[in-house]
Amino acid sequence: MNFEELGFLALNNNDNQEAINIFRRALEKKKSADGFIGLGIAHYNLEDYQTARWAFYKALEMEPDNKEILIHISNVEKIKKQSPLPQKQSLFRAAKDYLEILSDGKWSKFFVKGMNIGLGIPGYFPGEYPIKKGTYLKWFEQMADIGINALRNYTVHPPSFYEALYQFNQSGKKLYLFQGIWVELPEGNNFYEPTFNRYVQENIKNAVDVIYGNASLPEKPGYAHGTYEYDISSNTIGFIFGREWESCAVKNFNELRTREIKDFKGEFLSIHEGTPFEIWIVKICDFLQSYEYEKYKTSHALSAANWPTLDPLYHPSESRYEEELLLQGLSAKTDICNENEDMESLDVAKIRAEKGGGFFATYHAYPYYPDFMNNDYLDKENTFLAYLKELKNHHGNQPVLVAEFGVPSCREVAHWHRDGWHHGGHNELRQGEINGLLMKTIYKAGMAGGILFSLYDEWFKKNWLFIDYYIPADRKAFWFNIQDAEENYGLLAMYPGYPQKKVSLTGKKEEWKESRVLYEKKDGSTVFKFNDGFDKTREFKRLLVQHDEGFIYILIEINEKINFTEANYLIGLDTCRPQIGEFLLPFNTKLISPIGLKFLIHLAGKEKSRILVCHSYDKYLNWPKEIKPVISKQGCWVMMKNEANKRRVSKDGKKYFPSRVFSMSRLQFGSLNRNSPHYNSLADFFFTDNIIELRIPWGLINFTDPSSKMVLWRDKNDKAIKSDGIKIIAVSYKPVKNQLQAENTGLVSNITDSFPQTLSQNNIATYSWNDWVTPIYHTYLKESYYKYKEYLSQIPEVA
Amino acid sequence: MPLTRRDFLKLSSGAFILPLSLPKNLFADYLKIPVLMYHDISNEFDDEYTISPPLFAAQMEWLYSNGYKTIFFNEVDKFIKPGDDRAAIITFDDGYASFGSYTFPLLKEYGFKATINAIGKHIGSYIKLARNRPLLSWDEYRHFIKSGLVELGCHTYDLHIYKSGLGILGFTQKEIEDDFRLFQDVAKKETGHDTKILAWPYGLYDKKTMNIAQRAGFKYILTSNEGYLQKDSDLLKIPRRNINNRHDLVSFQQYLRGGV
Repeated sequence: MNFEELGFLALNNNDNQEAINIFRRALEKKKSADGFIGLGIAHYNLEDYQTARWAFYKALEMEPDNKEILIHISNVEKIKKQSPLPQKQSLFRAAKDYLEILSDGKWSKFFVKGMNIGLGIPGYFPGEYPIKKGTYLKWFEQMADIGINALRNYTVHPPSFYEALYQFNQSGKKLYLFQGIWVELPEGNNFYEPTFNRYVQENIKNAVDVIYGNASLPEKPGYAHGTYEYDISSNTIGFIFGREWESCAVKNFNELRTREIKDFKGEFLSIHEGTPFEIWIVKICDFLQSYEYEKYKTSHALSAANWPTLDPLYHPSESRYEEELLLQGLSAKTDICNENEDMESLDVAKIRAEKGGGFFATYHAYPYYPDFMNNDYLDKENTFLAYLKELKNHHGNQPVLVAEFGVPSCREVAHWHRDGWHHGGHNELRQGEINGLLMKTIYKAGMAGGILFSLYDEWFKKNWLFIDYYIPADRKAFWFNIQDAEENYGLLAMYPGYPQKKVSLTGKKEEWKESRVLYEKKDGSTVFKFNDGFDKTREFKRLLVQHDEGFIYILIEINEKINFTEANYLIGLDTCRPQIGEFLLPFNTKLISPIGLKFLIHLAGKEKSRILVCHSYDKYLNWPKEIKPVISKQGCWVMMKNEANKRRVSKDGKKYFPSRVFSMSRLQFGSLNRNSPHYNSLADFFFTDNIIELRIPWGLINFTDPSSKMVLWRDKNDKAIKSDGIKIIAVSYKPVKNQLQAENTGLVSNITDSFPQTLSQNNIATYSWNDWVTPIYHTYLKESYYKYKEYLSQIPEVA
Repeated sequence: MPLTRRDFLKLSSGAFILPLSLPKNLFADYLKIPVLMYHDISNEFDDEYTISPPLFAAQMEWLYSNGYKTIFFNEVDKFIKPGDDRAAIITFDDGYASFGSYTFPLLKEYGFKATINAIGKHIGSYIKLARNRPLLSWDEYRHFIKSGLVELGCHTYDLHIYKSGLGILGFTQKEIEDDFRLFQDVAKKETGHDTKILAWPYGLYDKKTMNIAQRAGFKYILTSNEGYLQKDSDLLKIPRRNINNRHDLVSFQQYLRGGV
């Protein structure tokens, strides 16, 4: 199916946001009236009439006599927006321990079951504001369906968001808003710098005016713009100002003002004995409520974003980086500020509301980060509960909202948790269970509510384990990395391919119709026959390859039913520069590859299959030295791992916490099809009858950007280099009983069959692809969505 | 200028090392168990007592993919028997913190076992070998031992000292006895286990120190002598091969396969 046909299929499926990418991809390839018509219809359906009109006129330029286009244009011109009703009121307040809602003249407790919503759908960075009204409406329905009662954004979204929220709430369903106000850090960390303060106040005024449907924001790079005329003030719970403030910025600012402790009393908020940064926060928040009251005669509840790194608690297990190194006899750079996780505090418990909507505390709190979230509470039954209770205890009657929490459904673990609530490594079902347990914990701890992170997977995001390995970084939104924790938090998957997964690991041959046949053999010849009755299970028939924005897929077809007791298979991948890499295959195969291999997949059954890397190309083992393949003929293969938690020492130097290292090399058997008894969303391979299917993530085989074919190559000259594609070889062998090694054949090597049949450089096939800019994707509700719903239903909204 | 341990060994040329402990009965059919001696695993150093993380990982992968079992010293009897089982013993001297980052994860991955011979006094601290290198703590030893994959041996409490080239031979009988007792007492208190393994600092020992060690209750005494552990080997003079960056995978395999 070509991209245009695929686009119209997406329109037919009402997947209009996905259709936009597909038609853009079609138009990148070839400009056509149909492409623009499709793009126009997608925008029309999503109620972005301005872009729809533009697209239809582009189509008309190409086909001036096309009557269908004229009808589309006339439909767009006919659209008249209904005038929204003014509301100008606040129905929420921060009260004792909880937020409260005004209903029938009576205030009652409101436990927040929230969802965070970002801006980065595949192919776009957040500053491009690509999400359309129709998409928001679809998402609001999906959230409300599982019992979400509030959503939180991080900054002002385009008018379509507010229009959609207004419309959704008018329909009788309810989703309340926490409006976020994002700010960058000031130059030199001087939060009182006049230009910075004007910028902060401008952002605040815009956010306030926007929720009252009273703003017209001019076009400005990186910001949402347009006319905001939908008043959603009565559906807004409150504002959350700021971000996860970097501890160095706060420390520097406090020191800049000599850590002078002061009181401040504003019209709405006051603070007793605040640090310079706390005073600044209160002043800014007071400004918000004053501005709102002055202009709209009401005020909403308000909070300032915070996180455990700046919490006011003392964490005995979390020594500073510099101190910790010193205790181990090592020295650290002291001329720079190291982002320590317990060196500064932002204590909003000191803030008192004088009048108005009130003030509540907000924390982004995950059970696995920073390390003290485990290490301070290792003797407690529930580490997360112990932390939250301590936090709540500190805040007294002030409501405390956990405005971010959750676990991602990614392949790699980025932080360890004692009870397995790790930062990643969960399949989609387990993700839902853990999210549910975290929300129950939040409820149990007496918090004002929890806002899950997050609604959907965001491809542009970067976790600390990968941040140095996205090269070029400005193309990250173009591809999906299932290894990366940060981009897999969603309950709604943004997954490559349309209308479904290209390969579902169910052994469906039709999924391979558009793949490339890299090798094929018809004559049944092999390298060696044992004549033991199992030669055919060691005999290759075909090797197929295809890819998408997230993975490379390989299928090997054997001449007889797969039987790992009698046959093992090795697939060697050369991702770049074939003259360099590991040449010797392991397991007593004694085979010297004609090209330098970088990765080696060993298929040896459900439990023992792995992917290995040549030892000089492993990121963890070679850091901080060069990370690139070297020529080796010794068979230096290693398993891929990462150190999620480094060794830690407590502040008093008496307690040590071991490092935590996780493997990425084990290949999980399973199917991505939910109806399969082998269903596992993290499955790497599947086999049935005489075929084996593999799904290998780009991020696992050191691609730094598959959309421009860049691979990691870290030395003094480069960080990444361009690949021409992937060269692939495959061999089979007979394993010695209950072992991994090859049975001797008596020949030079102990393989039984190979692709290519004659292993020479010239015979080796390369799988290559065109660069892309607009990714194709589809969305689906993960198993975690349904699982989380079960947990939410057990938690009452009225606390 | 302080001497590094490498310098020390070069200078002493092994003059203090007792004659090699040769096997009494060599039966080709019986398994010869190679005993690997590692120290630090690091990309920052390249000396006699350091192996790089990728090379170490490749060696462990080779052991695994070639079907080796790795065992504790008290399992030796079960393995030294006719047959084609492959077994090796992995030891680490000094107790570097890098064990936690690069070894323990592989032990768990492969189901391998290892013995760490710690210097009691420096546990939870560091020692200077070229530069300061952090050492494992009791918390970490407890964590490793609990897994069943790691056992603790003694590398003396505080006699891992150059001592004008004499090493442990430069201490009095009482000093050595007290030192061994202190290690054993502290280790028992910290881990709940008796210490039955001793590794001589710098591989140096003599009749006197050997007698003291035996009286202290050490059952397995590790040397730096060349050779393999095999049928009728003296468990009080267990030979080991120091493995470092000079052992590429080929020479590593040669040792493992018996071609010393």
